[in-house]
Amino acid sequence: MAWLALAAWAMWLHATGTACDAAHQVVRQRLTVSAGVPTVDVSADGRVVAFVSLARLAAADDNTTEDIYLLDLTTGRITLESATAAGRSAEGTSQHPRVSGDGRILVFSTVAASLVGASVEATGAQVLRRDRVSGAAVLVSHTPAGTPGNGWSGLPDISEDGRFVVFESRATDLVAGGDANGAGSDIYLFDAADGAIHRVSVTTAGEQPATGQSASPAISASGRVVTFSSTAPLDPPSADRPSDRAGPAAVRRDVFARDLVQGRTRRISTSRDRDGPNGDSYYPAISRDGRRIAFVSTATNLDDDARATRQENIYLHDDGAPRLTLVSRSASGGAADGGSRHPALSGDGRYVLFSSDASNLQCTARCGPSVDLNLVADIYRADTVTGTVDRISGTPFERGPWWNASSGVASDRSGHVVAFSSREPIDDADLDHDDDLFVEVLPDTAEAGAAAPCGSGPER
Amino acid sequence: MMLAWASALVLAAAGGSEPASPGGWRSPAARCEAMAGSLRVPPALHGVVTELCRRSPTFRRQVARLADAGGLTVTVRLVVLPSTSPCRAQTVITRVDGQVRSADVQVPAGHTRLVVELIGHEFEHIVEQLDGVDLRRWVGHGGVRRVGGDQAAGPIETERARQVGLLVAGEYTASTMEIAALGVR
Repeated sequence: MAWLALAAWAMWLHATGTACDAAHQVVRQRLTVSAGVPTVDVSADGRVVAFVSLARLAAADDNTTEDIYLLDLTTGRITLESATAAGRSAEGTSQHPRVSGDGRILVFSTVAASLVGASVEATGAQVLRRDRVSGAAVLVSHTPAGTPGNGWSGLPDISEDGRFVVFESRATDLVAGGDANGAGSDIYLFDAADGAIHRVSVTTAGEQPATGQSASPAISASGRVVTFSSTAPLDPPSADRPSDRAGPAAVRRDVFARDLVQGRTRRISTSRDRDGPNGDSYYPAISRDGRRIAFVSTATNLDDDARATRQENIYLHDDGAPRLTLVSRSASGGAADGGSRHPALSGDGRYVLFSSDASNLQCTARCGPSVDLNLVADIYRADTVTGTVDRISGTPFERGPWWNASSGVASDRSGHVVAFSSREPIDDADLDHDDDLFVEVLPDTAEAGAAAPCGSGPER
Repeated sequence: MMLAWASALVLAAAGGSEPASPGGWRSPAARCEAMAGSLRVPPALHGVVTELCRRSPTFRRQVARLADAGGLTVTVRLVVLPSTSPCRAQTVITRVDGQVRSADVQVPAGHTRLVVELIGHEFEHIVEQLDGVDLRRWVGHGGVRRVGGDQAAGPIETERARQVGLLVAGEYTASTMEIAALGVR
């Protein structure tokens, strides 16, 4: 109850503040961030934020396991979503929430038998789809017989209308016909219209390679395009793919996109030369129309100017551009001096949000480099139209430095409602070094007065 | 017998309790003072630490972080640094099995505001290490540099610690001015 009261107080404080204060909503919670994967999501309409919390933010939450909560930004109301039919918190951990465009449909993974409706002790987490209006929850990661799959499933994403859900699974019995790579992870698509499941991590010919694994899917708004990372040979053998030339020892993770209408799978992480990417590529995010895909790569030969160094960098693929664009580049146009990860895209792909350790990403108003001095990860928003990169994590408006790490960013369709987690104290009384949820409503880059192009911006 | 690996990193600075309420709630200052009890601070600095807990939110955050780091021993000492030292203060941090286990904070005796700034500065260096910052990798970027002329192995200074030290001192001084203003009224 103390946590609930504190959360309500924080919302009240900002709701009654000045206009400036209201634009920087801060809600106090313990927000856990799983290794490598953001646990925050914002609905496309910017109305709700889904997140994972260990804290008891609702009266019905009577334990300290990770639960799924939703924050309604229009009312400030926080609701427990990973609740049993009786309305109590589930006995097991729930993670990786994603919401439909209007926030009505929620998907997440859970190990709570009370939510799945069956024991998952032997199988691991399963994916659930919950209609927040009707209260109905269905098991997404199910076999043709309707039982939970025989392996772990997680990392779901959902189409804007909530009909399609993609997820990663190590189960071998989700679709008929066997599983060529055994317990290696694959990507699956669930269609809520008929409850059917289809394997997505297949070649253009519709075949599932016997080798390799696929991970971390994302789906376009309509559900037509699914992107994911994979070590499987999903595109035709090619001289610029090391795994095709040198055998399994050179296998790398690449980012792929599959157009479910055309039935075509293509590799997105292509190199500028004929040597193929010289590093792994993973964690893709996708725009509404599926034409833009942002991802992380440790390769140094993906962009035209070879500005990247051997670290995690953010790249942007655009169907209309001949080459990939390095997004996480320094304000002076050179290499960033720290790694970047966890990209998210606005609906139209104009804004690329990500976290970065780098100190030299941000432009000041006159396009001089602004050094980030905290030596830990911050949240940045790159505008591919103006070429500017703004640090989001910082004191409101002045963007003064925070001295604590931030991670796990998500945004709405517009790229203006942004949520992330940070260890920055929310007030002078906050002495806990835990992750809290921060939600901000950002202006357009131009409105913020930082529209001066910075070098040769990432937009082509 | 456990094999232990240890390394030392030298970082340098170049250049009255509130009672618990009847309901059990304790102010941030009181919590800070309680947590500061886990630090080894010379008696001459007890009063300074108490005042810092009362006046500086940034210092409270630092103390909470240090107290929360399991197995970490923080010792603050008043020292006289050699006149040839490029450092105003310094901290020697020792890691065992990759974990930050001890921090020996050495600050000179002097004007309270300077001592306050240097304690805040050096504590931030410890927090940097708890954050997992690889300072050697950062040298030349992000406000990180070596001082004293030895660019290969000299003490490392960070702009982050410098600014946080000034912030702590500013919060301490501002609070003093507020108290003085109240006295005038």
